[in-house]
Amino acid sequence: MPRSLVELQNLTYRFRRKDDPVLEDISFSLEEGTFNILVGPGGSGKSTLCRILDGRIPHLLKGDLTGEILLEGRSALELEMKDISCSVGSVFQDPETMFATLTVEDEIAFGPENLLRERKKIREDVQKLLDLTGIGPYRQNLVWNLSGGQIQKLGLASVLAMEPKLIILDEPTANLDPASTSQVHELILSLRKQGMTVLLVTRELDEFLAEADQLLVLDGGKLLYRGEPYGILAGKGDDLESRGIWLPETVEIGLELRRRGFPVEAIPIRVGEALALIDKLNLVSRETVLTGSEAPGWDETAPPLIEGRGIRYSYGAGLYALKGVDLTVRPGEMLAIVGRNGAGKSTLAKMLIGLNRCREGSLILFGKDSRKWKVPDLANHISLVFQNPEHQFLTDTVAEEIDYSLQSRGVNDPEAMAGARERMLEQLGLSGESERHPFTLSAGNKRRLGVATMLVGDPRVLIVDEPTYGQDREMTRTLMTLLRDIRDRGIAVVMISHDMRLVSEYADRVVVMSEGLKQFDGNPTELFDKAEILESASLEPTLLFQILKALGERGVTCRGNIPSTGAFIKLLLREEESHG
Amino acid sequence: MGIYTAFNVVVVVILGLVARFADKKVVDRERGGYSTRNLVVVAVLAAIAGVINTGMGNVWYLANTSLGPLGGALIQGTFMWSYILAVFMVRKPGVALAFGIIEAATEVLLGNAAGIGTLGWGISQGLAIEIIILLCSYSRFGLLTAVMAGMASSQFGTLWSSLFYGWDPAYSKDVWMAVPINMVSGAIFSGALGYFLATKVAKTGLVRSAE
Amino acid sequence: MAEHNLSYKERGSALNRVYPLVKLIWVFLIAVGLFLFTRPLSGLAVFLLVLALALIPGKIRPGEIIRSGLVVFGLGFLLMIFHFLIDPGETVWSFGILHVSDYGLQQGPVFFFRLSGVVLASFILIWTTDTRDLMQSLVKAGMPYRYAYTIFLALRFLPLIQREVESVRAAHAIRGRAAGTTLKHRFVLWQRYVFTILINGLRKAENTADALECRAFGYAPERTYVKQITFRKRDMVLIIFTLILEAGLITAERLA
Ligand SMILES: Nc1ncnc2c1ncn2[C@@H]1O[C@H](COP(=O)(O)OP(=O)(O)OP(=O)(O)O)[C@@H](O)[C@H]1O
Ligand SMILES: Nc1ncnc2c1ncn2[C@@H]1O[C@H](COP(=O)(O)OP(=O)(O)OP(=O)(O)O)[C@@H](O)[C@H]1O
Ligand SMILES: [Mg+2]
Ligand SMILES: [Mg+2]
Repeated sequence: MPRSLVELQNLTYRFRRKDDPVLEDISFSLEEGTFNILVGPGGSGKSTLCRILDGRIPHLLKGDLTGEILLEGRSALELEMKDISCSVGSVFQDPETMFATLTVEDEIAFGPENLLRERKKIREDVQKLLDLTGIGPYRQNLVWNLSGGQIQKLGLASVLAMEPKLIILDEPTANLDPASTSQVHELILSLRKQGMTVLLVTRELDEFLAEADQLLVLDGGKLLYRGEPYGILAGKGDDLESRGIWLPETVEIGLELRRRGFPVEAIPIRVGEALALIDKLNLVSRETVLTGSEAPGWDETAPPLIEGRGIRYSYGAGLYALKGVDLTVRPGEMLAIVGRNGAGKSTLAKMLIGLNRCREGSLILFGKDSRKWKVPDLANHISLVFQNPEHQFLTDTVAEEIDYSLQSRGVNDPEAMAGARERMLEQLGLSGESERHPFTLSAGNKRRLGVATMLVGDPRVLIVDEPTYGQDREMTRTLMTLLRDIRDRGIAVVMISHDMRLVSEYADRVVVMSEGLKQFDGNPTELFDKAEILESASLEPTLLFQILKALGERGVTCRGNIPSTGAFIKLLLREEESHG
Repeated sequence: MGIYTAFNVVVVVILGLVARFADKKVVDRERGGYSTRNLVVVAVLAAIAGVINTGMGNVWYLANTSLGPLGGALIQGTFMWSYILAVFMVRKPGVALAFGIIEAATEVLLGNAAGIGTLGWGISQGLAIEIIILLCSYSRFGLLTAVMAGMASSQFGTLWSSLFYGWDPAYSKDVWMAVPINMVSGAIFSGALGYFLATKVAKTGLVRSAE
Repeated sequence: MAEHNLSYKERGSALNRVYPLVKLIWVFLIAVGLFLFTRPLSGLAVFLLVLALALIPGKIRPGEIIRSGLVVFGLGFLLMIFHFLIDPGETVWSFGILHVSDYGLQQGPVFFFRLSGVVLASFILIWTTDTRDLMQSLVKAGMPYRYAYTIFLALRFLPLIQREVESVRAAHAIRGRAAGTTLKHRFVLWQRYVFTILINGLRKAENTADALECRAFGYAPERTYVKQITFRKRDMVLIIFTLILEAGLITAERLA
């Protein structure tokens, strides 16, 4: 009989007394030794719920809290922060800000040292955790010299060191490359095996959902559903989809088939289950041919905007971040650059806009050698939206932000400026926000404002570093549609991303970077066929592609580019009709 | 040196009393010891200021060593905006002095051109601000207090410059001539600027400590 | 800050192993001595002692000393010239309107050695001491650990801020050409720059503060330390020797 470790009863929270509640009437419990997933769109209150569970609310952050929180049967409101910190460990959304010390080893020891643990035990625990998380080789490293994936693992290790009963992970895999994501997932499973209770918070679900004991769905501060994942998907899958929570492709396929009237009893989550479903419904046979679109969406003969040959770049100390990369960008294409953390993607992007000088190799930008360009002049032709858009904001309101860009492009007439500003805000759906401070916008709107400030200059190339950073899939979709419109106007769009699904759905062409070299240049479907490249670049094919591949092994012919589950189902069913 | 020290103490006390009786912006005094958040805010401001002041310091050392007290005076006021900001965010006894020491220690560890001597400025400048807000009972935090604190710290800091660099007020007229310049630069670059930044940070509503 | 090559490194030197607090006290001792001296020769003696300590038991390479100390020695030299010219006393030489006084000739080197000696001693402390150990020795000396930790935290924030500065600088560069070069415009730019860094820094810091609490920072008045530092009696040699030397020099000055 499992015991409840944490129990929430009718919990409501407001940041300030008069505000609307951020969380409303939430009740659920986390059973001991289970693995729970909390999912919800951006701004739905997930991080706030984490703050309540780990005691930051109400002990450090005031506000208006009603309801009960029971931690092992005792009210968390009456416990002190330091008692809660012994039984609940929390890895924050941005783990880099959690670090208290300078080196990896010290960081893991920090918590137990505060708890006055025995020196010998701490030393043993540190060793064990270094082994468990696989960051042993970096034990002496300075914490800020770690890669994104290592930072996540260190955050986890340093929390585990305190031997909590419940561990909360707030979006641990955002910004991680697919291979590191899988590693973190494996780590979570091994923790559950050791009897730990885990709560994983996420904006997007993937195949890993199949492992969960409980799925909690949060939207607009309300807990909509909770229960065993397959059950929720079967009952409420369509609703989840309409709320902008992106589900695994396998689930999308199951739901879509069900909507079309096929008898789908259990919604598949794992690739194997999806295949079994397709088999059971007799949707494919050996002669089936699935033909996707093949024509490239852009003009391959147009003169290139950017042409790089053998680009090398070093930040110093003889270590090269780029070791000879060729890159061509033509007008009207959407190019994705992918690769593991630290592969040199952002370095390359900075080179294209002139922030990193190209000293070795040749880089021709708009028909002129990059060395002859000045950064501010180049900025009129090529724009970059930063990984963290906050770094780009210079003024106090959204409107001023656009004005600044207009001014630096030589627009000074107040009327022309107002007109251009209104148009831009309108286009990006920011009209209602024009008087707000850029920093107070939601993550999605920040990203849009970042794009807006870059678009007013009418660039010929737009680079977006990690469009999914800090966004849920719904916002991403809006943004990607926008980028597609921009591309259709003949502007080249370059996106840097870890999200393979985004790449396969939207990109015309994909460049894979690994260890400072270009490993691949072609269309996404071809890429997913090349297992060795994927492995060496820490990438993984999308679930949809895995399904296609498995179908291929069964004799089904898949041709061309099948970017999304929508396209896949259409092909699948058209076949079905002609067979039928 | 004795007269100059006495003069500086008097200046600080007068400025403090002005703040006490002229600053109408009275708030409740903060209670309790330093929370972890207080400490961390102090640390991060000290780090930011440490970096900026180390850079600014090099200009100051050059001006001060090649032109004497008058050379340093114009820049003297640019070091303490961070002190004011810290005090306005953590309104508790001792924070000005502690911030001075920690900020100076950061500069020492960054390897600036005064070494451990920097602590002398940290202490003297922090102490001056501490006296001002002590005289205000830690409950007046308006522009006037900020400006007075800026002037006081800027001027009081020169005590240490005189000692460290040997500008003996007994024979160097420059030291006395620099007094008004120090005060004006302290009022503008430390007091007004620090106040301006503090209100601006609070206005965004993004930083809890500033509310 | 980008070019600050001054940092702790384990050089396996004798000074590496000296108890951090002893080294800190020693730096203060050197500073106090240099303040009390009134003759150039005493300053020179202590300066040479500091230099010798850096080179021999500190194992600091001369190149490192010169690279890090160049600015300081240069400033010290300027300071010396300035004292030559402004200090009162009998004129020894004059070049046009510039007069060098006998008192100035004596004071100049005193201040040169004061500045150079204090800074070089501070550098030795930084070169040979892990800040974490220094913090721990302060705690052992009775400082509450939450306060000692604040200094340490400031250091931990430095790289974070450096990265923030880099990104903000890059972002500003690509937001287009600055529309003006007036002082006002410069100020507006500076203020935006600092403001972005401040806001981001503070927000991250508040997150860090919460994280510290979640990790039981301040759980008890004490805490354990995995890495032990131990005080050895022979470390006191550094202090005693310096004390004797300085006392001797001061006495000699009085007698002369
Ligand atoms: N300190 C705060 N003061 C006021 N409102 C806040 C504060 N922090 C968050 N909010 C608001 O509370 C709501 C929930 O925020 P929360 O960060 O919990 O969402 P989330 O689901 O974690 O979002 P994300 O997916 O972007 O991480 C949002 O509307 C947010 O604007
Ligand atoms: N400013 C810098 N100074 C020194 N080295 C750097 C700097 N920026 C990046 N590097 C190094 O250059 C390499 C490439 O980094 P880059 O940021 O281009 O990777 P990335 O592919 O964008 O990674 P991610 O997916 O994590 O964003 C890494 O090894 C990184 O540590
Ligand atoms: Mg969140
Ligand atoms: Mg990057």
